[in-house]
Amino acid sequence: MDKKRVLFVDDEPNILDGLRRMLRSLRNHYDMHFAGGGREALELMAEDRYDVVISDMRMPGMDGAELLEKIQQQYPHTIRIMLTGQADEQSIMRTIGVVHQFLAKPCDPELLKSILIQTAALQNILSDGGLKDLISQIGTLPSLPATYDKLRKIINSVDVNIDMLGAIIEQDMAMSAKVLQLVNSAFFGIYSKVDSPTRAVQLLGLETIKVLVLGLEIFTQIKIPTTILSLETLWFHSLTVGKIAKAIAARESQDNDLIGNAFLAGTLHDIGKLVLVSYLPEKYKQAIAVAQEKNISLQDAEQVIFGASQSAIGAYLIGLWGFSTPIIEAICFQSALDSYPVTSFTPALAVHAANVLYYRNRPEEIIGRRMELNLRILEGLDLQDRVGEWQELCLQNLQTETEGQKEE
Amino acid sequence: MATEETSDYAHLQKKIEGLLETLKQVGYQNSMMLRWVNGAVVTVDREGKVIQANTAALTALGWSAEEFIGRHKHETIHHSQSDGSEYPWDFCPAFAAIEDGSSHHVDGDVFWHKNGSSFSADYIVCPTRDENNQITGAVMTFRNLTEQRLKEANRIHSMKLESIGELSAGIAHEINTPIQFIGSNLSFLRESFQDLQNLIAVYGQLKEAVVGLPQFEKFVHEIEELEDQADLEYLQEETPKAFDQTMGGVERVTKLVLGLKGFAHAGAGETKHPANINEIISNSLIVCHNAYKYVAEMETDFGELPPVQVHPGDIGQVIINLVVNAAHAIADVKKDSGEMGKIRISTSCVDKVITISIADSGGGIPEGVRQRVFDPFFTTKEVGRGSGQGLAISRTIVHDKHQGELSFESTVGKGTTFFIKLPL
Repeated sequence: MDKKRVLFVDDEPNILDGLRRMLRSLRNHYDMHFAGGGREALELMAEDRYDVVISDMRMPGMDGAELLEKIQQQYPHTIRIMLTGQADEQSIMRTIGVVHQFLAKPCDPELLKSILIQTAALQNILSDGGLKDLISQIGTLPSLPATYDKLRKIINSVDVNIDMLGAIIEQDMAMSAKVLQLVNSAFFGIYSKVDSPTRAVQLLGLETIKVLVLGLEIFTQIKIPTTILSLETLWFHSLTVGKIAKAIAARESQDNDLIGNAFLAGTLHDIGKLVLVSYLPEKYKQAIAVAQEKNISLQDAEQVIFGASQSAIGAYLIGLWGFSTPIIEAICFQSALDSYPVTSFTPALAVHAANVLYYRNRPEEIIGRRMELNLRILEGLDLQDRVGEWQELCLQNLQTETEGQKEE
Repeated sequence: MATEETSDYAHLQKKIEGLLETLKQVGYQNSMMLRWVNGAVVTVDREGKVIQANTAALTALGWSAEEFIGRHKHETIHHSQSDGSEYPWDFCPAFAAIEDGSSHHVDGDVFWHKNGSSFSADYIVCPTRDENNQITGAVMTFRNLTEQRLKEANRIHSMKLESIGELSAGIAHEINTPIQFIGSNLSFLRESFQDLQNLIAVYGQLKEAVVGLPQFEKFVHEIEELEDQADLEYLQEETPKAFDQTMGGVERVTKLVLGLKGFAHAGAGETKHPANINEIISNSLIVCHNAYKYVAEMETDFGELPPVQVHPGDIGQVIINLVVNAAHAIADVKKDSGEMGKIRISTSCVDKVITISIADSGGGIPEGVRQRVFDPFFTTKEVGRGSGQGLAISRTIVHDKHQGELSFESTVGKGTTFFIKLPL
C-alpha cells in the first residue's frame, strides 16, 4: 500500500509537534506535513497532492473554515477534517457543507489514529480520482421531493414536534445520512455513537433542525428526469431493505449494535446510486442500458461505465462522513461478499440477503441480470437453512411497507 | 322665645347631622383607603393585640378578619426568625414603637403565614397617639417581597450561569490547546519508552552473551555500573505507571472542562435542548466533586433514558444544589461519627416521566421544618454556608421552567431523598 499524505494546520507549533510525535506509529501509513496557517497550507497544497487535511478552526488571518472551503473548491479529493477546541455552534454550522468530520480538542490519541487509518483504507475503496473529486465535494444529498415538501410543510406548522420530524427524516436516506453525520460529529456534545436517524433528530432538537432545514438548507430535493428510473421505487427499495436487514439481523443475533448497523447500512446501501443518478444522470442511463443489453448485473454495468460500483461509491461517501467501519463495509461489500472475509454473521451479510430477497419477490424492479444469494458464504457459516425464514421476514416487511405506502 | 329656642335646637340638630354625615364620609373614606391602599396595614393596641387589618394584610397573612382581630400580632405573624428560632416580643420594633414612640423601617424581615410558611417582608411601624398625645398602640404597614426577591434571585442566578458560560467557553479553549499537545506528547513518550524498553531487553541479552569475554569486559562493567546508577529495574517498572497516571490526570482535566462547558451551556439562550439527563448528572458531579468527596461516597445507578427537552444548565444547577445539600447534611452527622456517608443518585423513566432521586445518609429533615424547606430565604445553615435560596430556586426551575415536580422523603436519623420528576 502506498503511503497517504496528510497535512496538519494549526497556528500553535506545540500542537503540530505533539501531533507529529504522537502519530509516529503511523509513519508506515502516512507522510505527515505541517503548516502554521492557512496561507502556508495552500502553498503546500499547490505543490503536492494531499489525501487528508486536518485543520484548526481559530487561526489568525485565514481561519479553518475559510481554508477548508478553499481546499474543497481547489482540491476537492482531499478529505477535510476539523480539529478544534472551539465549540460554538455558529462557527460549526458555517462549515457543515465543507467539513467531512469534526473532532474536538483535546482529541483522544487512539481516536485520531483510528480515524487516520480508516481514512487511509477508505482511499483504497475507489481508485478513480474523478469520482473521488465528485464525492468529496458533496455537502448534501438530494431527497425525494414528496418527502422534502412534507418536511418543509410540517416544520413551518405551529404544532410541529420533534417526533413528527424524526418520522419524516427516517423515511429518507439522504436526510438520515446527513443528520447522523452531524450528530456524530464532536460538536453537538454527544459522546456515544448514534446509529438511529430518529434518535439523531431528537438529540439535535427542534431549534437546530429548523436552522438546518430553513436557514442552512442542508436538505434539497432531487431534480432529475424520471425517465432514468423511478425515484419512488429507489426510496421504497432502500427503506424496505433496511427494515428487512434489521429483521434478519434481529433473528440471527442478539447484538443491538449489529442490528442497528444492519438497518442503517440497509437503508443507505443504494446511496451510491443516488449520488450517480443525481450528479451523473446521463452516464447512469448508459449503465442501465449496458446492463439490459448485455444481460449483466447492474453492479457490473456500473463497473464498466464508472470504473466502480455504486456500492463502493456509497461506501466512500459514508466513510468520508465519519460513519463507523461496519456500516462502510456493509455498504461496500453487500454486493461483493466474495471479496470480504466473513467469519460470522455481519451487517454486510444481512444487507446482502435482504437486497437479494427483496428482488426475488419483486422481479419487475430488477435491471439487468438478477443477483443471487452467495451460497458459498452462507454454507460456510452454516446459515443456508435459514433462508426460508428470512424469506418470510422479507415478505412480512414488504407487505407492511406496501400498505404503509398505500395509506399515504 | 320658644320659637327662638326651637330654631336654635333645630339648627344644632342640623349641624350635628351634618357632622355625623361628615364623620361617616371620613370613616368610609378611611376604610376604603385602608382597604385599597397598595400595602398591608395592621393596627395594634398597647398590648400588641390586633385592632384592625386591611384586606391586603389579611390576604398576605392568610387570616380572616374575625380570626385575626384580637390576636397578638407578634405571636401570630412575627414569632420566629428566618431560621426558626424564637423572636421575643420585646425585641420587636413594634414593641419599641409602643414603648418609646420611635418609628422603624425594617427591610427583609420574615413574617409567618397562617399555614406555617414564611415570607420576606419590608415594613414600617409607627406609634399611634390619642388627642392627649398618649401612645395608644402602633400601626404597621408591610409589603410581601417574596416574589420580587425570588425574581431578583433568579435573575442573579441566570446572570451567574451566563458569566460562568462565557468564562468557561473562553477557559475551555485556552485549556484544551495545551491539553491537546500534552496528551499527544504523553502518548508519544509512552510508546517511545516501550520501544526503548524492547531495545534494552535485546541489549541486555547481548550483554549476557558476552559476559566473560575479555575484550568486552570494560563495556560490561560500564553497562552494569550505569544500570545500577539509573536503577534500571525501578525505571522499567515505574515509568509506564507514571505515564498511565499522567494520562489519567489529563483525561480528568478534559472531562472537567467538558463538564463545565456542558454545564454552562444553558446560559447561552433561553431555548430548551434535548439532553441526556444521565450525562447532565455526570457533568454536574464532576463540577461539584469537591463539595462531597471528603464527606461521602457517590454511588450512581443510571437507567436507560430517552432524551428530554430541558435547560441543561438549570437542571445541572438543581443537581448541584441537591448534591451540595446532601453533602452538608452528611457533614453535620459526620461531625459526630467521623465515618464517610453515602450519596446515591439513580435515574429511571416510567410512563413518560423521568425520575431522578438523590438520597443521602444525613440526619434527615426535622418534622417541624419539612413544610418550609422550599420557602425562599429559609435556611437552617449558618451564615455563609447557604443563602436559603437553593431549594427555592431549584423548585422554580423544576416546576415553572420544566413543568416537573420536586419533592422529598425524609426520615430523621436515616437521611433524605429528593425526587426530581420531569415529564417527557
